[in-house]
Amino acid sequence: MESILEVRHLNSYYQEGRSLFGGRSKRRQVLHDVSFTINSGETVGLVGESGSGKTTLCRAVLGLLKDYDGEIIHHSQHPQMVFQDPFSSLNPVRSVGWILEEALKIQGGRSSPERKALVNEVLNQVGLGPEYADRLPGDLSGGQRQRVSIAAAVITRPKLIIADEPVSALDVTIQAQILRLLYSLKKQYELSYLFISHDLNVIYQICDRVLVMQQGVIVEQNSVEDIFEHPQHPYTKQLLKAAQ
Amino acid sequence: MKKRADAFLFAGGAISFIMVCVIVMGWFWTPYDPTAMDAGAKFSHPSLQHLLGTDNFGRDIFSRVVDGAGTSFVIALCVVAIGCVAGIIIGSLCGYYGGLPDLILTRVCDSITAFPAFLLALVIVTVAGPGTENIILALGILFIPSFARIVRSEFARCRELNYIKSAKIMGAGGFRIMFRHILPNTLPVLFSAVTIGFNNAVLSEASMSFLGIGIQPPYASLGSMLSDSQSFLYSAPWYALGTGGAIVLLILGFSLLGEGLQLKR
Repeated sequence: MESILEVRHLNSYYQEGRSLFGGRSKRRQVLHDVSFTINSGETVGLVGESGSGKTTLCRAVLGLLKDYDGEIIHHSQHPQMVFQDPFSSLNPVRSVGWILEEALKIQGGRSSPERKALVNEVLNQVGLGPEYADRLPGDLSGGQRQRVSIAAAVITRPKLIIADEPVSALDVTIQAQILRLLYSLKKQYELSYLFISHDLNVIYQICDRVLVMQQGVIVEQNSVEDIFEHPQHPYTKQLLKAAQ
Repeated sequence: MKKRADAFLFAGGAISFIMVCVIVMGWFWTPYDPTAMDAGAKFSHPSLQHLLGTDNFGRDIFSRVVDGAGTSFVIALCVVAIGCVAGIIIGSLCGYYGGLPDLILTRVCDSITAFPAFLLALVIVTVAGPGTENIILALGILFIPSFARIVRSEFARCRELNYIKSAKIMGAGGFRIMFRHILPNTLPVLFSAVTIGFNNAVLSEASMSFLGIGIQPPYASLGSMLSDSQSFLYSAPWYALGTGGAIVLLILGFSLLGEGLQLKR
């Protein structure tokens, strides 16, 4: 299978207690020797307690980290991201259509009618319809907003989408709808997801493979069946126990 | 709360609209020539011929008030425009990028604010000489820090929000994010800052002219007229009342607009 993202021996650091007068600041290590790959069309789950470095890993993959060593190799164009909180991830003064078109404008290379057509197409695909293009994010519900965020992420046709707890701010029925939407988009565009969640049920539903992270170290990575049926690491066992 | 905001907006809009109409009319037509003297009609009482009476040179006060309000209005607009544009540029760069340049520029703005504003304007006008352009420049520079500070804090707040992170992840450049993504979010705050700034500019120009370092005679300005009128406060009270009333109306209209916008937020 063709790999879309390779991360090799990634260590990342974080400066603690910066001072104006150049006082000594501690360089703390966040990620320790993280290695994994994501293959084309694969959904990889990332679980771990808060503070374990999940978000830092995301930022590293998105190219937002400065202080790191190791290799991050993308075999496709730049990945896109879907955030947890659908209320802060959309610009409140811009319409849905503007937000989606802006993603295309940043990418460049399309004429205005082409962009408009793509916006309408993607709005249909996420189950909203072209009439939502004129709405402001403030007029939409949480689930609808998350659909717009997903539309903004897929409209530039990336191969990898990083989803940081994309359903944990939504209620359970909406969660199922959004997961189904993510799944159908994945089939349609051969997307890969790096799917972060603390909810093991969600991970079980959507992921092919799981990375378990504890204090900046990937302690176990395996197929979702093996993780749930035969957990190896004590931390994974502990997580599974807590979820039951 | 909503109702009060609407009432403020309506009253402010109505007063400002009338004032602006009168001022615009004054550019093309006034009942008398504002600088024409008439020795025979010194200190006429307000009447149908002279709505607000005449002054010590027999000039029609209403015509002079309309003309002077126009001057004050244009100066205030230019001052606010300079302060606003420069403030947006400095504030957005500081707020978005932060770091050492932010620290330096913020301190410079603080020190301008710490200076008595009037003293600084006085210095600039003394060095550059009086004249409309110099007054605009002096006041404009003084108005930059207040706008820069407002814009900076809004940009610093927005910078950390997810929709800005998301634009960054999409690959948007700094200027695109600053002016297409963040700036529209600061407009409500900017609007109320502009109305407050406009009022301060009208008052500052009036005070400078009152002290004789503003608009020079024979041209009319509300401040210089108010300064003249105080010598005749007892013999011709309509002079001070008419001029002062015009300042009050000009400021009241914009204050109410600003207040309404702030309540609406």
